Amino acid sequence: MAVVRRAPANMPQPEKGARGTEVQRRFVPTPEAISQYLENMKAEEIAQLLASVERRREVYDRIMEHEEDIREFDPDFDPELLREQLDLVGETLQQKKRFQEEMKSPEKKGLMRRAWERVKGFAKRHPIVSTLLVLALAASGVAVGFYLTGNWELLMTRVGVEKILGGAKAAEELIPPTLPTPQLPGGGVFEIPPPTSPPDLGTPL
Amino acid sequence: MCYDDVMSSPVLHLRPEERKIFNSFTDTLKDGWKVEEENRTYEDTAEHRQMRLSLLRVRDPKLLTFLTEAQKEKSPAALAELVHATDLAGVAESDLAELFFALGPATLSMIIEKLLREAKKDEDLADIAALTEIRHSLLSSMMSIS
Repeated sequence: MAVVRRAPANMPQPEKGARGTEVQRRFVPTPEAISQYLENMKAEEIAQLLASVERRREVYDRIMEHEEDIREFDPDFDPELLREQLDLVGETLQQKKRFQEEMKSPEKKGLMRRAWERVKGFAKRHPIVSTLLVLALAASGVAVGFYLTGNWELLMTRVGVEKILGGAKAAEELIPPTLPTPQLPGGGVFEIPPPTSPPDLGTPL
Repeated sequence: MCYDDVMSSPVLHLRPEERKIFNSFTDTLKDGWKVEEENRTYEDTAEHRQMRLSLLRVRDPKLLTFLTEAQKEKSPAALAELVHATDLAGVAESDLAELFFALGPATLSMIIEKLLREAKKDEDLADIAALTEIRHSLLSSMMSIS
């Protein structure tokens, strides 16, 4: 079995938001987050395992070997919730893969290419659409800081998307900020590149 | 009607409520457009939306630069400015697909409805046709998972 260094005591601490609630860092079992605990397994290998229900159980068992380490990062770590989350990750990855395959299919390829060409011109013709797409990217990578300070709703209003999405609150629900994947200090197996937008997750379109 | 000049996709995939908006257009604007009912549905949830965003991965240098710069911004005004300054011209199709997948069909439907309400010419409908094609594929990929 792989020897995994335990996270040191100076792990990132929960942050307090302006909303008065303590927002705990959570372990979200994305392939990149899991790969931080499973030595010698790359995120894309884990993504492939998660696509199969049976192999998902295997991933679950291997993650649970590191329960103690994960709890240091996420004291509320719940093994039962982990099962549900792994199912959700697996399902979402499968959906994304189907979307990618459909776009590459001979029947759809031409249509989709022309669709993307039009979307690329939206910055001038429909800037609000480009704004929404860029906001999704922000939500995936940087929004949590804004959420903690109560500014995510304000940002939604500022960029003008709340009118389309039925108000700032609804906009926040449709494009929710996501918690960051744990970045574990200490080197060793934890010393990996940041999980944001890794170069080769999944199949390129 | 210059649909084929604008985009050779022959179809607008519209939901019933969107079709009502389309039907209210002038005959000139409607001329030449084939409308098919979008009868695929997907029950999206907060958990699914959150997970799609958690699994969003881009490779385009422009988008990666946006992420890096955005992490430095501390105020909504500064981040809003950065969001507005980031356009998608030249971004790879694979990254556009990632962004639309993360956004999901429900949000895309809101955009489609807004653009339909503002549509005045064939060019506008060609843009909407592109979005309905993307939504059609999204719904197809999402609903086929049991």
